[in-house]
Amino acid sequence: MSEGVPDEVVHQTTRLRILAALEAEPDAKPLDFSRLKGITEATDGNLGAHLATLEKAGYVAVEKEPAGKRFRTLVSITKAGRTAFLAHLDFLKSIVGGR
Amino acid sequence: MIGQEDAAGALAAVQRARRRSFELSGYAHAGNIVLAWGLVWLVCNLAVHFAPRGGANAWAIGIPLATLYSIFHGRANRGKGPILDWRVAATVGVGFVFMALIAVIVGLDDPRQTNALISLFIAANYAVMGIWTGLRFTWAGIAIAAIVTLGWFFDRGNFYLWMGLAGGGALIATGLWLRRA
Repeated sequence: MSEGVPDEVVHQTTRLRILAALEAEPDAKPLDFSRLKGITEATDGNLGAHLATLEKAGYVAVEKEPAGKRFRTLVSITKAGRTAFLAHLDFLKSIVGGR
Repeated sequence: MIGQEDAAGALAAVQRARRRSFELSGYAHAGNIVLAWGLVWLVCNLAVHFAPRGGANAWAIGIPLATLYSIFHGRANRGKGPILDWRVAATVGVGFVFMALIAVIVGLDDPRQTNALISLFIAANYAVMGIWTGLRFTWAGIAIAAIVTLGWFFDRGNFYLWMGLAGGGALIATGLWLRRA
């Protein structure tokens, strides 16, 4: 993303929160679906849809891990996702700073 | 086109998400530690209740064990939540010395008074920790303070039993609640 052009995939509020939470994890460790739900305060369906958008853009990786009889969804930020998120933060800061 | 207000709102949303993420990670990370201290409260208070002569020795084993567990668990999960390393042992040490001095100065002659005082001190610590890191700790502190007060005023004869079952039970329940975050 060049400076001055917003990344529409990242800018949407829920997706921005998802990426902010994932980016804050040390060593890009994955977060599980329920934790992300708690952070974003989104519904299951809403969160799932936004994760699909981010995954399609290559910004997050989604894995299913067996947990007893069910599956646990683990989400981690990709290198491209981190780059896009940090670039978007710089872009937002440049607007706020009036640069 | 994103305006200055929108950009500031988005940056605030990022900050909120990071803070919430840190808070929930802290809960999940602290859950096992609170659970461990809950087990110590349960076992040691019951030991004093059922074996008034030697039961108090259980604390000499339980406190170091829970302290060591807190340190090792804190190291294994470094970076996930509030810092839990040698400072846990230092905090326990400071608390112990502080309480021992108060007990000597005030002249507490009933071991139940010492138990209640230490338990209230721990409850206050939880409450303060919650103000800084996450409100679930504050609720735990309030619950423990209420349990100590109720036990002291309404069933002092079975204080250790009450503190083991209700106090230890509350900490165990809090630990499980935190782990689910």
